[in-house]
Amino acid sequence: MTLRLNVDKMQIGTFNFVLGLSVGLVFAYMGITYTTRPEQRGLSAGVMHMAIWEDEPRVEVPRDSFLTQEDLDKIQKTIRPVQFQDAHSHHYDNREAQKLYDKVRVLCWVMTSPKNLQKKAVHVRATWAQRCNKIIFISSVANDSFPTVGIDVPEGREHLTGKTMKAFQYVFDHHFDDADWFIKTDDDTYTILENLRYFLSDQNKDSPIYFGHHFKVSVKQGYLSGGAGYIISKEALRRFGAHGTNASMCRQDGGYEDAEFGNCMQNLGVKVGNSTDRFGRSRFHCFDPATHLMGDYPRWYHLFDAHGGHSGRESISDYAISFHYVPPARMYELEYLTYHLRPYGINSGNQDLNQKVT
Amino acid sequence: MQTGTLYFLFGLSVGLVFACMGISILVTPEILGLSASVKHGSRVEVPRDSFYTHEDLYKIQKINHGDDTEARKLYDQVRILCWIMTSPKNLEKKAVHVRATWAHRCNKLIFISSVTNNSFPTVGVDVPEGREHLTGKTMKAFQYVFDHHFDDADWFMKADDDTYTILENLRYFLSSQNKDSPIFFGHHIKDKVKHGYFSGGAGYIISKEALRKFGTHETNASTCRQDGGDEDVEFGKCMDNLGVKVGNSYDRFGRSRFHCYEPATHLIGAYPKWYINFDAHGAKSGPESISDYAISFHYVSPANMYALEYFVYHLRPYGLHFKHQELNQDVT
Repeated sequence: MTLRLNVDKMQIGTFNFVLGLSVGLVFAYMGITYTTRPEQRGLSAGVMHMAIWEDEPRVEVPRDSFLTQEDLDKIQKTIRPVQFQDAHSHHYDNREAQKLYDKVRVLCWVMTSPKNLQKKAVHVRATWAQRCNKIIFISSVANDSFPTVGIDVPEGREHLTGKTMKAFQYVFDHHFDDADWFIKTDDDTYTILENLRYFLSDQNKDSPIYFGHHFKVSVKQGYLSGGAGYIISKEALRRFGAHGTNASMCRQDGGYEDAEFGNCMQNLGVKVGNSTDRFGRSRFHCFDPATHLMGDYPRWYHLFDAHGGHSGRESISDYAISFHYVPPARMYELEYLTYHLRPYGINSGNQDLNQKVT
Repeated sequence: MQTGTLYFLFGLSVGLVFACMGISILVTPEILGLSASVKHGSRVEVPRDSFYTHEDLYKIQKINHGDDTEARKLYDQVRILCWIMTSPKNLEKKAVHVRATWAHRCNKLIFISSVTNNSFPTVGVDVPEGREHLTGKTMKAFQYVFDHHFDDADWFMKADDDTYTILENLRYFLSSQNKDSPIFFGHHIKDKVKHGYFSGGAGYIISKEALRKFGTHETNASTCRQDGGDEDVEFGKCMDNLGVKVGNSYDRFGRSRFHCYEPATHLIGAYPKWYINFDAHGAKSGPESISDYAISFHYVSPANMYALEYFVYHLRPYGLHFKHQELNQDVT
């Protein structure tokens, strides 16, 4: 009789142990599922990767300055576009840059929205966009005075792919002959057109190829980060124009705009090109310069970046082309630092930084 | 029943331990929704690699590189001693980034702290840490510089450990000035001192003659307050009492060279009220208000120090060749 009691006790004990373990493991499962990204669990890139980074203003505010983050946000809402008047100007000789302007024609289309027109796009327009051979602002609503082209796609993160597909279709339909290369950027991307043209001057616009900041996940050959800006060749645009509305080759909407466009490019036989310079340093950038210099990347970047998530001073090219997450105040700062501030007595010559094209 | 509960609790604990291990390995602060802007703070590490200098590039490949003969000439002609105000707690947080970026361009560089540190190195002045003693630190620092380094330079600059200074532009400006004149320069604030004073954070630089007057005057608290008050105001009063003139460092187009804030703030005019009220030149803002040969910026975080270093000395727009500009005012 004692034996039977013991067996029963064991069974109850085991049962309770298993019950407790199950409850604990359920907590573990729930906890991990809701707090980690699909990629970290070894699944293909899914839902979350850009969600946390897209909306945050990334102006770095030192603790002991007079301006709090709140102040800056308020100010950003009321920043009036400022013009750099080079009245004192022609302080540089731009013949070589002008030659490239004529030889390597770049059409820029900037992804924006009605609510971001006066908040962000206006500052792009006031700074670097004027250096494109052709500049088009793409929104869901046409605005003749800004001006923006209205794409028939609702606003919202879920429709960025649709916006991108329709934007490139619009560019193909209306501006195919206006340029040799076609770049997409966001309204918080800062682009240095002279360095873009220099890089492209050694590339072939009739080759099916596109360039940007390379991510190695999601698409077999990888894809290019939307925020850092990506630029497609004339041939790539031609192929897109011919087949871009074919939903089996190019997803028409939903998903992540850059990954879906990357998939589309791959299906059309457009190659991901290498835009690092001769020393392996990056030209298109997903973040602002300080972030790349310090290397305080979010964890997903190390998983995504095709070039090992390098950071530090030896990782960025002197002829860098783009930076992302640049809020309005910093756009003017980049404009000032790139085109105006100089160290007296140091004259930089041309550097031969392009890789030899095989 | 008790044993049953025990087993249950044991099982639960094992399960929860798995949960904790799993989550701590996979979860990062961003996922938990903490502020992205925390990142540039305490976790900053000094990048161990250095920029390729033009010398490096030239050695690695025969690339047409620039020519800095003019800058080198000025380095020899206009000798500058920089002393940086720092503290033990800021050594690895801020001063190290100053040392890694612009400070090596000074002819002589001294970090002033309350504690001597032979490896950094810093000079310890006998003053306690804290805002209330910045004046004391400043007075003792200049005395130290006078006592030990008077002959090492022609001009003597004070900067904070969150000031970024472009030495080439400082030398260019000073090449049109006279070191034997009792004068000092910086960002001019019209308040509290008869002729105004210069903002401490933007950096101010005094002539050899001004340092001589400071170094040789009998320590007199009514001429130069020994401690307390605001460091830049008190030093300004001291200079005024010693007959050192407030100089004008604006360029030929009336644009500022020493700055109280980062470029972005000056470009969009996001100034606090006191600056608008007391800036000696009307708190101008916008792209036409900052000189192309700007000398200093303040409230520069460590990350932005490296960013400024990259923009001033490395990033270039291909095909644009910047010419020398004659931006100094004519000295009357």
